[in-house]
Amino acid sequence: MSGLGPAGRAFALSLSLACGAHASGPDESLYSLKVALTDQSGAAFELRSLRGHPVLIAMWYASCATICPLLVADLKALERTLPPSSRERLRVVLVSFDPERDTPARLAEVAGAYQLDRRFTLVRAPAGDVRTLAAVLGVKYARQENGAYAHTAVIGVLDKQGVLAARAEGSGAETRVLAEPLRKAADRPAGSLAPAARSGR
Amino acid sequence: MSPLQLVAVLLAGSAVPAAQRVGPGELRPAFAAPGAAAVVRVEAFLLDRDPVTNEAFLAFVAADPGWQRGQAPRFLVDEDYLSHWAGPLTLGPAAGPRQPVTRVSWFAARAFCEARGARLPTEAEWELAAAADATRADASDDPAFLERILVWYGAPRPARLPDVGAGQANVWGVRDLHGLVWEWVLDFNSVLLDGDGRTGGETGRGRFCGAGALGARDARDYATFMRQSFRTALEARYTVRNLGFRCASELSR
Repeated sequence: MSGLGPAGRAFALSLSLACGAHASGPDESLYSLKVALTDQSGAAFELRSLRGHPVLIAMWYASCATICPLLVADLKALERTLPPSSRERLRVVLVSFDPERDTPARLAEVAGAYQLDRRFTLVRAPAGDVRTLAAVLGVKYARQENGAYAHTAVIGVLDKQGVLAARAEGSGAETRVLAEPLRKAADRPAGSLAPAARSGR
Repeated sequence: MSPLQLVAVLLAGSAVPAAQRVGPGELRPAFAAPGAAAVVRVEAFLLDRDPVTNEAFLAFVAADPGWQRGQAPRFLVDEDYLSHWAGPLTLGPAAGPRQPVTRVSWFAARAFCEARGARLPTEAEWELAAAADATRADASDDPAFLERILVWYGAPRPARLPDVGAGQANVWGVRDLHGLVWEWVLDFNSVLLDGDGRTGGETGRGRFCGAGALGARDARDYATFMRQSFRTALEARYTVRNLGFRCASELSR
């Protein structure tokens, strides 16, 4: 639509309306989000590559000294609530608040320090995409003067279609409520739940 | 709405709105964590003169069907999204073209601004602009100024939301920052307040990493506290009857 003046845009819009705008049901999957993630190997990471897996997703940053080690403990504890047969399918995504300092090398270093296996993906994203993911997960955060981040501790459960099935705020016992939704997400078949009937509205 | 009326609204809604240069200036945050700056410098920026209108938002969703009511997913907009419009592409009698658009989520508001090559203002930018009255860049130490804002916060909702631009412009030429609708800011989720944070004290260390105590600079500035409380209660997908927005952009475009 760029390059047209206001009159041109309005004309084009009214034409498209006259012909009937294409209709598709709302896509509730977070994998419809356009975010540019880079993982600890430096490769671009597509959220939709998680499709078919139950997912735990959380936000943190590598220099975080207090809540974040507890976060890792909570994630590992939730993993252990899954039956052994389901654990291999689990994926965990950790999104950093701090793209400046959490380079892929740093993320790889931290993954090693916490002994996180290949099911764990540590990503960084541009500031705008960090804001998007925080908004979706209901995470509050603020960069402080000294470069640290004040933030709430939140873990989300995504089902195999990438829909946010549950979230918990806090740490320790407060995150145990996710065990049940996580088990359900792991149990449900991976076949897509078709969105509400697509009609030519 | 007849096709001719629709084209007229789309024409009006597609026009680039007036923007005013605001700042630079210094903001003294009402709430400061220990070690946080007592004064925040805000670089000069452009701020929409008025809140975004229904007609402007209609033009946006007409061009981007993914944001129409019924198309936008529930994790981005709640069930009241544009519920006062007569239809996904029809304003109707309850949504005048020049009224500020409300019942839009943060995601929808941000998408609108980004479609225009703009963005939502940061909280610091919005607060800097909102500290001004008709003659002073910073009227926030004037009890009468704060009182006027509080009177609006406490007033019963008007039967009909006024059109944008009826209020007096402040010294930057910006209108309706107070007295019309509450407004989304880019970093609304940067406010970490736990319960009644006005007087500081522990802020749930188990839930907030690194936050410590957030204390009010001036407990008499209840108006700012109310805005902070409102922001902290919001989630990005929420839509609220009297919550709208306006856009901001960098000076050099």
